[in-house]
Amino acid sequence: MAMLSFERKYRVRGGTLIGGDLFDFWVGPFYVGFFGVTTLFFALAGTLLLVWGAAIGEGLNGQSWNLWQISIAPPDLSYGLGLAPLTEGGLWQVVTVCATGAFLSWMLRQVEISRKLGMGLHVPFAYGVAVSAYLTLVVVRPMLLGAWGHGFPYGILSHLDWVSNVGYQYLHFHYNPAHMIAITFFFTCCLALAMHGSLILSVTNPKKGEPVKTSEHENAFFRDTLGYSIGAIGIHRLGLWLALLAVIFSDLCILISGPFWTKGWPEWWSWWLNLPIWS
Amino acid sequence: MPDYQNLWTQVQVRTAPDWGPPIKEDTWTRQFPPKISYWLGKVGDWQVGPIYLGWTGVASLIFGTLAFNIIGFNYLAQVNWNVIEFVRLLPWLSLDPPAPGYGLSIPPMAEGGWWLLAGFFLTVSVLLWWVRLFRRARAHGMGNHLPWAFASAIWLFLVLGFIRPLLMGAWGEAVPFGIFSHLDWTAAFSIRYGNLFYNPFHMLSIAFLYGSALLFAMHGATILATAKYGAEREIEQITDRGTGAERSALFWRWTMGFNATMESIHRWAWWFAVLTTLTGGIGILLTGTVVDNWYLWGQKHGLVPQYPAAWEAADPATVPERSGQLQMAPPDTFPGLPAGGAR
Amino acid sequence: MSMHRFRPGALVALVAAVSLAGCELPPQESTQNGFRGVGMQQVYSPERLAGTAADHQVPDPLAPSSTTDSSRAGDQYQNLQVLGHLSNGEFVRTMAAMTEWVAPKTGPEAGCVYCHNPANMASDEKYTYKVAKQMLKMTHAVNSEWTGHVAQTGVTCYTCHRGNQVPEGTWFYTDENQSLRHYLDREDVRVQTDAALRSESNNLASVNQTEYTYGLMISMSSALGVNCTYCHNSRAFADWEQSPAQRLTALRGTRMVRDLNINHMLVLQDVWPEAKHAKGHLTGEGTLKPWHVDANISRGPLGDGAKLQCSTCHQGVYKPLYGQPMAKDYPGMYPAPQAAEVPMATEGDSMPTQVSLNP
Repeated sequence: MAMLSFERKYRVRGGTLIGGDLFDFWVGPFYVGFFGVTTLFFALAGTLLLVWGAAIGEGLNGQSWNLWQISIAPPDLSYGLGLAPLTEGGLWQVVTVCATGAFLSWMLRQVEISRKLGMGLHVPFAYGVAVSAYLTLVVVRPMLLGAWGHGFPYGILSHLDWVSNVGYQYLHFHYNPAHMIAITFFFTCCLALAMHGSLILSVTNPKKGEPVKTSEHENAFFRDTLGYSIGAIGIHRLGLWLALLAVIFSDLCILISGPFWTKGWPEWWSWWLNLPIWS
Repeated sequence: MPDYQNLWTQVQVRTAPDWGPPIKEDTWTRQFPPKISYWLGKVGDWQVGPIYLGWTGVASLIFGTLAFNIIGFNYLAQVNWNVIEFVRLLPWLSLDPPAPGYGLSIPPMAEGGWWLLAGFFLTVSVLLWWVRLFRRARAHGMGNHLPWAFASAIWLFLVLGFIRPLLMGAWGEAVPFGIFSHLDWTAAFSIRYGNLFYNPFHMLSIAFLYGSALLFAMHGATILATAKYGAEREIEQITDRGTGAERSALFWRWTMGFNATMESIHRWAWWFAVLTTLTGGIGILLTGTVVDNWYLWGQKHGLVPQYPAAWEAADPATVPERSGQLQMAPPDTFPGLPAGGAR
Repeated sequence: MSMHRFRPGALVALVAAVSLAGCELPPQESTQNGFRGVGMQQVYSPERLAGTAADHQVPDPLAPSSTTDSSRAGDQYQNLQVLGHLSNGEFVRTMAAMTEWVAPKTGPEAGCVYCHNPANMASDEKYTYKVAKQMLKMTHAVNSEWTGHVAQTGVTCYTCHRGNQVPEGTWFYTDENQSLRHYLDREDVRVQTDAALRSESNNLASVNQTEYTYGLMISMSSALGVNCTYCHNSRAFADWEQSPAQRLTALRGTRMVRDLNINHMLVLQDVWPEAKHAKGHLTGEGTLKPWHVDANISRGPLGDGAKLQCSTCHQGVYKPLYGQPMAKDYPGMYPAPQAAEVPMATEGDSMPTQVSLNP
């Protein structure tokens, strides 16, 4: 069960970044490795702290096990970039350390697995961009604003409340130019994913009675409909970059909100209206 | 290491351009002989064209162009046909739907009629494009996955601009055609209906949207990382699994204990993308028709976290209502009022 | 070939210049006005605040009039309808102060003659004389009836005028200003339903109408230099229980503005001179200004007189003149019956050297 029919020949030693052969083994389908152990440690510690926080009703008016409502909140702004008591945001700080440790460990574990399988490092790189979004929100931006209290709370609805309020801190967040670009990349990425997924499924699951199609059909279909087909390798480059740019511009849009612009985003556009070229 | 990570095409192989497998060309033919684009060739295929327009494609383009021009000329009219002001104010210009007071009737052209006409033409254009995609898929003997995925996007489009306004009884509920104005509409929509973040279908739609980006990053990165084993030739890997597919599967199996296959990753992809607009459309459709305040709906269903109070609650009843007799009647409506007509 | 050479350096410089022009550099200051972690915060650029601080300074008070003067200006001067309760000395001092506040610049239309006929100071033949009289009545009303909003700080002519003959930040009827009618005759600012389901309510407010409310709220935020979370927890805008106390002050403020517009500004409709019409404020003349209204004129394009809004007094800060007390030095800013109870400056009321942004 643990192994696929072709898996045994790929399970070889080596490729680790640290620890040599020490943790170079598999548990069930999972590869362990040194960073698997650190991931497990940080993830377990963080999760247990969250559960403990929920048990004492941290961040809420009264304890609740309701999964939607549980919220582990960052400290008050008055603590600045210092440490806060455990029940006044300190828990959030420890969980943030755990999460950062777990995410970075996970990324390095992906590097080890990539090396084992003789793959490029595209996946850990892409994952690193996703981690950058988290770090921008809870580390970089709070540091630029001078208080951990600018991080978002760890809770399903409470993080949405944070998003809502932080958005309205800039009166109308949709006017944030980086936010516009990020959303455009997200939508385009979704469109491209639908097109790519559809194409592969439709050539390998053709009309009844037809043989499976070839890459000639793939290209011809999009040339016939759109005039251009980006091709098998190109779509994966495009898809990866659409996704990564969506995240990178998301990073940017929240990073500039506060540290580099304190007023409403609609007002930011007045530079365009006042360009000297109009008169 | 950075020498070859398949980030771009280093050697572009040029052959005679491919006109594609033969299709029935008795009503229309493939047009525009293929051209070469060096820069497109860096990222993807260097061949641009041919294209098969067909009568649905031509009709779709005509209707789309009409809609586009109606919107553009309305913008121009709003700035007194001043082209410089048109460019300057472009992000602020908007072709608005009729005022809610018009209900579902047909308003004068200048008060939403043009919006209705542009919306109609755009809808016709989009639906014709769907027919075209469906017919092209059939012509190639392929599955219909693409037209059905497109139908999911059309669903959201129709909910926003047609179905929900119909149920609400006013075209005025629909989205305006404009860059900032559609963003204003989006924000106002969330405010009017008590915070869209508490709409579970909005949550789902965003989860699928982010999930789509996640999936495409995972899939794109995996394929690029195993492209040296030919993993990007996905049809071949699906029908006759090679080491590229095996390594990409094992990567995720070893990382997270689970893996898709070369075919099933595209099913995941298709469903995530399709569900983004499908759930989004449901969320919009329920708003104002069934649910009028999503925050209170969330409160009713145990979603709302209660935070410790940071201040004593304010009581608006302590503020006296104060207003005197109006000394002057303001105009009933502003648009179209002649200058100097305030009194 | 006369093709322009592509200069990437120039393009980069242009983009960098444009981005930096529309940007404030850290560090910023922030304050919190709600439970931690939910984003109830105000972020300020200290650099920007410092840059505009001079615009919000109170001018030094004129030398006080004699405290032993028991004369009554109403007995000495003719046609004193509003300030008759002051002593002669204080009356002259008030006139001097008002000149400094409203028409200080030299020129044919400045100084005493901005309002008065120098040949007959008691004559109300100039429209500005009539307006000034009404404005004094308005100031008295604010300082005596609306202490719920202006507290003991009160207002003076300077609060709005700041040395301008017509204050900045008044508004007129235009297509873009529809939302501001809430400050006059519209009551439909509340658009949210207080029940979860459609079947439980008959709220017909449209998305369109909500955009007016949103526009009004943004004008309010901009007028005070604050963001939405100063008065609301945005997850439930309508809920008073989750709203900071400032929302109550703001509610009193909107009621006050409505009162002042109706009972003090609109009565001047026939007094404003026809010649001072604004031009080009209607759609189509290239002055589409989202979220913005300003004009240094007393009649709008539709011929209506100037009307007040939050920014007329606040002018971009959360308390006009950062709450520095000024009216206390001028008994003429208070109506007669209350003149004896003019609040005097207390220890805590001293002029803040550093702007405190918490309520």
